[in-house]
Amino acid sequence: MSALALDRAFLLPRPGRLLPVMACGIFVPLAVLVLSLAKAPSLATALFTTLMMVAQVATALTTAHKEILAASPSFFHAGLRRGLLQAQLGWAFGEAALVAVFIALAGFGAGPAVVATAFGAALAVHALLALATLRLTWSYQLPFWILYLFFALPSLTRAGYAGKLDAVLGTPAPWLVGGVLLLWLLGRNLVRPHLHRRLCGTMVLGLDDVFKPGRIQEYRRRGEQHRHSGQGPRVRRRAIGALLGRADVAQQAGRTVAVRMWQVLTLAAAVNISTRRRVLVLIAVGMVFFMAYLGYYDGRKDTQGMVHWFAGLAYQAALYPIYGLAVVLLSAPAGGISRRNAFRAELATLGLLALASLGISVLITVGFHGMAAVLPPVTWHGREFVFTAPRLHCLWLPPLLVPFAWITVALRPKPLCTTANVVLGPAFVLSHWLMNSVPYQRSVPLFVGISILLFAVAFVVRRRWWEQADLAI
Amino acid sequence: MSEQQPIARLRGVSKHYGATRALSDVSLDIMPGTIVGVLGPNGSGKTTLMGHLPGLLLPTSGTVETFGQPAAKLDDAALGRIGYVSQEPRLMDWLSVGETVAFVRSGRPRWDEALCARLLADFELDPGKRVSALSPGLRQRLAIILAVAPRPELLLLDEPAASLDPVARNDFLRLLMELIQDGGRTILISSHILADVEKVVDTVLVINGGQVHCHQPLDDLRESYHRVDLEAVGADLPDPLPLPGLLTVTGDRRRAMAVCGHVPRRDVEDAARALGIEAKVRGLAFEEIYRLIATADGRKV
Repeated sequence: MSALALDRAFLLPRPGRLLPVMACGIFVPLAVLVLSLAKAPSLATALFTTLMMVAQVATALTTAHKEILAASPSFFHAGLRRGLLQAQLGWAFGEAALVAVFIALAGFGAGPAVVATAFGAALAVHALLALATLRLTWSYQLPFWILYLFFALPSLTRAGYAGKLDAVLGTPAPWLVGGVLLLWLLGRNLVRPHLHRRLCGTMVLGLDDVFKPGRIQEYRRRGEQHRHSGQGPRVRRRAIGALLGRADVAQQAGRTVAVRMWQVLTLAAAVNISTRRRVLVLIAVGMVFFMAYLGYYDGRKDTQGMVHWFAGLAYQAALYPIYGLAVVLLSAPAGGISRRNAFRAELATLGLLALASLGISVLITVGFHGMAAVLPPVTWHGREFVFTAPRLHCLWLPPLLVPFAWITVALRPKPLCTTANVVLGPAFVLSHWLMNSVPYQRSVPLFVGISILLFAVAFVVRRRWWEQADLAI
Repeated sequence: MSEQQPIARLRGVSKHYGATRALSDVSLDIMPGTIVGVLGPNGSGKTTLMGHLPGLLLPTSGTVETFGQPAAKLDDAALGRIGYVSQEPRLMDWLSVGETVAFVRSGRPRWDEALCARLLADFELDPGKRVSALSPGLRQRLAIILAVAPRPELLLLDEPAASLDPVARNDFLRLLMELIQDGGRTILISSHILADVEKVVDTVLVINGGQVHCHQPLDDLRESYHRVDLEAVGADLPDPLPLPGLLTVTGDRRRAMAVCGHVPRRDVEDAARALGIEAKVRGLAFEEIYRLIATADGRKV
């Protein structure tokens, strides 16, 4: 707790967090800024990207402050909250000054009003993100959600060129007043003891903890400790009951490999199916909505380059059974089954999960073709949209991604590991892009080859692991 | 009469975690039907030693055999005869207590349903409650049920009572007695609560720094450690005291208290008598014996 003794330690996130903060918070916006400026310099783009960096820095810094506040000894540390507020104010005004100087000197011809707007906006963004980080229990996710704002960048750039933002950027008063008000609110939150009491003794996660399965699991466990302990909607209870029933049947038949397989699948179901009914309903409704939306988006008559691309992304839902795989594969207690049979059961589980994935793909395909049959063409803002189903490869692509998940388990064999989930999404997007942009004659053999190769490597590594590794006790 | 085969046999077992040596050249036999108390300070290698018997941990060098098979290659039937409670039980937080029981039961052919139901009631575990919502003590109780209900022949209990309240600990000890009375079961139990260990074990295994310092029946151990109260009559007490197996001496030249170890009581009594002084030889409390073995008296027994 050296941070408690040294005020200058309030000024930086803890070292383990610097790398992810730099990677996610600084390099991404910086790359976007450099690329966009090189392509076509735009004041709106420059201001937006610099504000994104301010947002990331504010989140990282405040997460460190939140950790300090959550540490039990800090409750008795005199002057701590005031010290943290000084650090926050120092960063807020420092960042705002840097943003203002950059906007003034970057060659956009920005006048004093625009520079003042940039200053006020930076203050507001810092204070807003700091407040959000302090108040939200899931604040460790903020750095990811902030990145989604980049989707607004093209529209913002277009609006900037069209002069639609001139009035907004040329009126600094609301930005400055808003910034100061938000900073006052931040100070009020930070200095008063209420927030400190609420945070004291809690577990605070940061961006880097997303890659630490043990921390995430502990966080979830603590979160659920005081929650209603029901087992969620009927579909979840029934799935768990049915799978355990199959394990019982297999056990009576003396098939230990099958017992283990059904046990692992039980855990996969327990992890994958939310205990909250509203989440399941939201997923189902969201899925139908996105399938319809993406199907229409793909069928724009005036754009041929990306046809079949967006709707195909809906097939990521077929990865759902595989997402929980890595989490549970090493989490099922290994007692009662030999190492050799446990490995065989792992293979059998993979096969069944690939089939489950294929089953969901088939359902999505049926859904898409059903929609294509009944949904009429739509004209919006003078453009015609015809509902278009994705291409054939989307059907079998998700099951072929099973080796991608398995190789992450092989390379990072940790219980409750979520690395596969991080890998699977981009792997699907990249392979879908490969199938879409390269003819099937070349892309299919290439992808199938990669998949088989990964499977072979994972097979060897996992078999050796089961033979030679210490199992968690 | 044929010689009884050990249920577990370790020969020259060493285990390294990087530069840390958790076990160092451990050789011992665990005989069937014995109740072994595995004792030692924190980080002494107790958990590592117990993890080797079901083949969860594999030795860096040496061999481990359980039920006559290499522990790393135990078949399903042999593993079904082992129950294990770890210090911090790894349970499946996403399941309820009832589902967890069903989960483990599905992999255990010899599951005792009646025992499980009774223990769930005795330990006040609600089958509908999620495992993630259980307190550490309740998680420990559940882990004990899951290990005991399959009626294992070899039961490994790694600090099973560490998180239990006094009432639950008492219930657990009663259960342990019941299992012992069943007969034929081999139990290894590690604990820092020596009073509990003393009640149930018949053999003591003291481990420290990854080395076995003592592995012998509790009664033999009691017979080989003695406290001698000496009082000079006339001349001062001799220095050094010529007592066999002398470990420590406190007091002055007129009155002293000596501790002797690794010798039969009779030898100590004879030596004290030969000194021609007033001497009372008594047994040592188990806690004192343990402290001597684990700390000051570093000799292997």
